Amino acid sequence: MPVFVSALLCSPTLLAEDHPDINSDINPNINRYTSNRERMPGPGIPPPVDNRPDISDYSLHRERSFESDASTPPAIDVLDMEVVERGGRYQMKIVAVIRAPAPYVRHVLADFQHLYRLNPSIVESEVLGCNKDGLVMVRTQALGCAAQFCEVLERVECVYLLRSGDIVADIIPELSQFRSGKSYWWIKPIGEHTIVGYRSYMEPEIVVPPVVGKFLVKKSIKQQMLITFTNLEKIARAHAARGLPRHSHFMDVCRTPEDKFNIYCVRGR
Amino acid sequence: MKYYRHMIRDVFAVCVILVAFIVSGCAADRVIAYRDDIEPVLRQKCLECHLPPDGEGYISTGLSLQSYDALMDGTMFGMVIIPGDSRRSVLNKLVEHRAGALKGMPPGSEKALTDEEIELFRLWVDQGAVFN
Repeated sequence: MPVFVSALLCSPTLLAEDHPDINSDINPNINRYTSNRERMPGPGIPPPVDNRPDISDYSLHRERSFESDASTPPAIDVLDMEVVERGGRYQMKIVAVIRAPAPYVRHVLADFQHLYRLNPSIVESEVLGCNKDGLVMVRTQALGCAAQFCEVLERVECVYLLRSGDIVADIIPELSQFRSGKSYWWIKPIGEHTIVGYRSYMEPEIVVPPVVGKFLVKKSIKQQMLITFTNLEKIARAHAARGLPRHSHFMDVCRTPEDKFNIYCVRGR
Repeated sequence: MKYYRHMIRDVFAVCVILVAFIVSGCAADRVIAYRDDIEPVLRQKCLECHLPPDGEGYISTGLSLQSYDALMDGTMFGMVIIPGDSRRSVLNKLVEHRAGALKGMPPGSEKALTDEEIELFRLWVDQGAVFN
């Protein structure tokens, strides 16, 4: 569906024209963190709490999400961010410091049942299948907007949870509105904080007007990456404050894989 | 004579279409009231789990549905309502089962929202999710 048609169907309140200038949030001084590493307390990661948490205290200090409060600048410390477009293929990269311990950050990124929490633009999400090797098939529909023009893009990905803790996701073009795409998340603990990197390329099947359209799409992608990372930090900190839930990991509710899972994710691996 | 008959038929058809548009427009413009339309549904189908301090839903997410303010505060993971935007509001995603079958709210089929109730939630959020 051309973006102009879909714009008529979409809410005009979506995009963050009123978000702060993204570029001002980039901090290229990554060495600041690596040099501070010795001064930070050891691993120091609190073990998950098994008792039922008392959240009453936490809820008093509840913060509003970045997405819903556009006047609040993102709290995360972005070390590097870039979006490049070449021939309809978008390459994106973001590296940021997440102020939460790595196990909780990893838990949030691998919590495919709650992907909708990471970014409001994920308007639909579903785990289509998974196996005990850490292979998951995920379907998402994301609302992508450039200025007032919006498009819902569906994608189905095979997600691999690597032994290193990093995550790789391959888009299945046959089941997606993308000609191709691959994403890579890496997670590096630094004391009680975590450096998270995201690198991806995607080739969406959308019509984007040249020059201004591509500029707006790139700007939108940057905003969405910031929203995702801000929410990632918020959710990881919430988990860290109360301990990981006992039975929430997707492997505990792993559905019987559909045929599509075996065809596209297992055999295609 | 035949010409006039055609013309009368066409005018009648246009009138029917206009009336249909006006009626549907009025229906879409119906203002959803939190107190009359939303709160009763929340109390009947959601509050049992989202009631502090022991409700299961409250313990797992921090979402209290005791009051409008508590609803708008959202969960410990973020807000559940983006006023004016039901497509991206978590509340609507969950009651419309857009976050996977396992995450639909309310869980189970006993208290599942009817299509009319889901539509009420959608309209209320799209109308700004105000306390009215």
